[in-house]
Amino acid sequence: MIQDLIKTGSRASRPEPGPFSRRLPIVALTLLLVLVQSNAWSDPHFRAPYSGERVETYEITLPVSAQHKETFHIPRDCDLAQNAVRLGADQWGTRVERRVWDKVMQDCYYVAFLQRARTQVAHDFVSDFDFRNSDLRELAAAAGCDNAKDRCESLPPGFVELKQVLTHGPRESEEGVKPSAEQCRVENGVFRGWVSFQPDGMKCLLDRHANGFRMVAIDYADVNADGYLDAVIRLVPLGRGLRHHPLILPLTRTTPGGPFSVPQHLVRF
Amino acid sequence: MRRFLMLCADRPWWVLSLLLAFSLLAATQLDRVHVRISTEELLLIDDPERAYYEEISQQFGDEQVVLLLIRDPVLMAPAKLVALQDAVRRIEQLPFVERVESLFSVPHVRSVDGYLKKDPYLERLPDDAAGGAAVLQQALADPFVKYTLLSEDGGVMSAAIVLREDLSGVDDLALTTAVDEAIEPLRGVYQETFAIGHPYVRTAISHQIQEEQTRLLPYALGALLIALFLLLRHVVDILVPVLTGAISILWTLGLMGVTGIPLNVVTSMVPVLLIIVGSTEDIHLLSEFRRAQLKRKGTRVSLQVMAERMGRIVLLTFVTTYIGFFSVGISGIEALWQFGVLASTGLLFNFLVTVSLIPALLSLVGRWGLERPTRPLIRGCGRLVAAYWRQLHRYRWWILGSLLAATLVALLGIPRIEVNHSAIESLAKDSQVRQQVEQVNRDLAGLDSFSIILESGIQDTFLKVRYLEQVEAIQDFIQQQGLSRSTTAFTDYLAMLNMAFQELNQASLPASDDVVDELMVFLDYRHVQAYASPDYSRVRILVRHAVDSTGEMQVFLDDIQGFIDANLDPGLRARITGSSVLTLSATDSMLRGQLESIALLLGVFILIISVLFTDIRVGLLAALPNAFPVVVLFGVMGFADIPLNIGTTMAAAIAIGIAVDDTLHFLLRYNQELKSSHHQVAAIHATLAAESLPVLSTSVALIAGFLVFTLSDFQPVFLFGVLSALVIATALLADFVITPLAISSLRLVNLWDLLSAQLRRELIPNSALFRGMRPWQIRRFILASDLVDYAREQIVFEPGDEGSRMYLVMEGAVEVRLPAKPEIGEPVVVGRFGAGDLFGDVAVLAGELRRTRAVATEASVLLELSRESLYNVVKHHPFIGSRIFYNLAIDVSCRWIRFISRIESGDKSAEQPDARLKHTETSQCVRKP
Repeated sequence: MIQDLIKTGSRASRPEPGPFSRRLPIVALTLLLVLVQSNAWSDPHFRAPYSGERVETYEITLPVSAQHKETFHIPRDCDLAQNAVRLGADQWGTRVERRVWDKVMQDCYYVAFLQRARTQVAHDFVSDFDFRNSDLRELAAAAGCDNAKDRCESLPPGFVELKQVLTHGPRESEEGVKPSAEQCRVENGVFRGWVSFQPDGMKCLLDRHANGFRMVAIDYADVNADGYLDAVIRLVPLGRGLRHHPLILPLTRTTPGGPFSVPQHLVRF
Repeated sequence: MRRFLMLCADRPWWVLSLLLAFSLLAATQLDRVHVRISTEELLLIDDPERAYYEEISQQFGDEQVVLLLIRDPVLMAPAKLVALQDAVRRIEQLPFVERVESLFSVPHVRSVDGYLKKDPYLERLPDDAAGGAAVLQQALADPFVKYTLLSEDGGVMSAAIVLREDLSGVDDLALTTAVDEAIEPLRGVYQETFAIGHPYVRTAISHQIQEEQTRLLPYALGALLIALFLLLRHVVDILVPVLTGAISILWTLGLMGVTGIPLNVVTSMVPVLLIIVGSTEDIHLLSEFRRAQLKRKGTRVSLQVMAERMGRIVLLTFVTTYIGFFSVGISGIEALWQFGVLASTGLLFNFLVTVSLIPALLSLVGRWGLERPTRPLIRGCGRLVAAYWRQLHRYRWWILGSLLAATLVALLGIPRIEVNHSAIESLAKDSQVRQQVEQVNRDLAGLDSFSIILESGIQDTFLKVRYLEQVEAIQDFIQQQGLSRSTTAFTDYLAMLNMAFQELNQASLPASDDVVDELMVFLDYRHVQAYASPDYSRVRILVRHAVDSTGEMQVFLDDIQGFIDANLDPGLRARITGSSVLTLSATDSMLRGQLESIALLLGVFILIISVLFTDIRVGLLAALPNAFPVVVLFGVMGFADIPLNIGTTMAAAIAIGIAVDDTLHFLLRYNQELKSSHHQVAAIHATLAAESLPVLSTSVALIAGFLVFTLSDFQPVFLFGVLSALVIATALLADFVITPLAISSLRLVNLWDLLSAQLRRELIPNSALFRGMRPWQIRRFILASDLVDYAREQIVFEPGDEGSRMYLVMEGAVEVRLPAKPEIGEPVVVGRFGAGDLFGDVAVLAGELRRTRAVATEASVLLELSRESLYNVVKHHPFIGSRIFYNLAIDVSCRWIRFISRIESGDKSAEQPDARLKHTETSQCVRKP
């Protein structure tokens, strides 16, 4: 793909390339590769336990037995933490500590998932897309798995399709505003409002008091090892009564500017 | 007592040396006397509520703080905030400060791009007014800030200076000085800046105490000197009470140094009280001494008269006053207990010094050449008294009716009395500290607080929405009732966290336990440790309030308790605690203690009088002129809205303890006069004449002395002075009106008193009837008898008379004869009875009519003992009765033996029958010489 680009660029009528200009495509390619690599391989962020702050690593002390506690640096000590859980560590401690064990395990699983999915990719059509300020219809239209038709695997626990976190709502607001396509916007990573799927397409009614979601992190990896870079969006539901548990929304596309879809056959962990 | 007074008069130099030695010893302890004001002193000793409060304080922290209050129209101006931040840093460096809670430290919980931020509101100072306004708006939405660190209008901001638990080595003055120094630079920056809290209140009280000690004592001395000058007019007599007062104060202060009892709002009154109260007995002793001197008696004889007449009275009046002071400590409140012990012991010192120093000095006065004739006190006193008594007696029903009406009106005022017991109320209304406290109460939620503790004993209870809603319901109730502007609890923090995560517009509790579990993962326990136990089985609702009346506080707490009782989940237990609650316990105890001390005092007084006069009616009547002032006092308090507090609660007991002294003086003097004159009206005249001036002058001195307390800036002390003066004045009126009228209606002198000493000591105990009985048993029996005079040849009883009495010959002689028969011609003499002999008992015991005639052969005095009184004694005092009957049996038997002996010898004269009898060694019939 990149080589095609270079070939195309070089086919255009142009003067005889100079020494520097002869090297420019190689430099650009290298830079692009580096860029792709950096986008894909950047460390994920977490919400630190007890503080809720955005961190790349955190330290947590948890009970591993009835009398003993240990301190783990996550994600560095994820293996140790997972070993401890296999030995039953997550049954000890208070209710809050047991819940923190759950969070640590989720964070570790996510890190392991990303690391396994970080293979060399040939194509990147996602990292330059601004998911945080995008058309919700593009994201919501991403087809997932229709098991009956495609006999594909359903998403693992914790993974969602966007449609599953959208709330279907009224035909108009209290002020008489009707849903429209223009209101289907994710702004600064947040969408709050109602959606309705009508014959002429998806329409939205923005309402800051309604349920919605926030994108808290976007990581990149080839989660199904198909050679195409995928965006792994972590989002949290917003709204009263909803569990504020991060959900994972993988999205991919195989052509530049093409439609998004949910990657199939995710790398298992 | 008489012997002790005379002993001191005989050994004056010993007395003076001993007093000097003790005074020097006391002086060595003066440097240990200290001023200490603490909230704990207003609380109950050994209150079980206190233990629970301390447990809660240990777990959740003490809510007592010092507030730094700032008022300015532009609070958030950047330059001003810089100065404030510097001041907060300086305060945090102070060694006694645990932490400072302010907008520079209180976490602003919010979500930024889905992640939590908990940095403080003023982590970064706003750049401009708009930024500052935004900060204010955000902060006012925080329940941990609104009304605690910021006023509703945003015009007042505070910083809560949380003090370390262990403040040993740091006194209130050092603390307040250090804080004031740290905030001094802010005074030129903000419109108004000050620090306020309980250490400041205590410091203000402490300063005032020290200042008043040096101010009030001279006034008290002045009042005393004026009273002494008006009455006694003798240099020695004016100086002596001052000297006894000064010595007793010195010893009392020494006692304070030794025992560690501090000078506080109430104990600081003791020195002035000793000056005022301690002088009254000095005045009575000196007055009696001078009265004897006026009758041209020498020093020693005058001292003997003083000791004889005043010794017992002074002891009894000391006892009643001592009980009055001591009973103040019954309530169990530490400060009142300290006062009770100190004041009563000081009074004891004063009594000992008075009864030793006065006779010693008076005995030396002549030798020192200080003696000179005293001027007559009042001329024409006798005529004035007689006229007064006439008018009083004539219009007695009108006067008593008016007093009864006044009593009924006063009774109507009593239910209106409120109890209000607060350290801040001690300060005058115009006190700067008090005004600052009121400002805090107006602008913020208040300086005081209490806690509602909810618990289940089961871990993680309060991680369930069902139980969190219980906490929220209580908070909502309090807010709806308008009882408090600020309640904070674990639920508030959880609601804020939920608002941040869910990006809601308003804080609200999570809807499900799952959501709570999620939130708990991101909750820093340090932020809620003041509100929840580590296992979340116990939580606290901190209720801040500005209630300064204990009555209102009680209603407040009752409302909350009622709501809790009606609505709380059965799985939870709730308990309300806090310094405000402890103050209420102390208030209840104070009220109870007040009533108990008055009851104790009046009870002891009635007992003393009843024992003295062996008649309970006398005791009850004597209590009337002292109960009347108590009723008037409480009535005035009710109508004048004077609350019952740490000062006024003492007024009744102390004033009554003093007022009963005058009644005692009246009664005991009346007793003496009646014994000598045997005439009630004459005795009343003599009593009024002798006691009017001392009673009037001591009362005036006491009133003037108590009014000295009205110069105090302490409300409770001011009211104590006013009310005590009122009680003394009312008691004075009652003593001059009710007491004379009451005692004139009763025979206050009993038969025992009327009998001569010789009869009491010799004749009666040796009489056959009373053989083997103790003096009190004889007295008990005698009090049921009558003493009757018979002229020579007067018939005592005739044949055919009902035999209802027996007779004991006290003086003279009586002959009992069988009526003359025509064939015999002369009556047969059955017996002759002289002093100590009993006759007329046979008909009484047999229940028969008289068969003989009893005639006084010379002028005689007979003690008549009725059958009724005999049976009453048997019924109520069976042991005495059994002894009486035993003696009667012996007496009758001996008379039979003598009669038989006469018949045998044919002697009809009944002269000296015993001379012919041969008695055995065990004979009961041998007369004692």
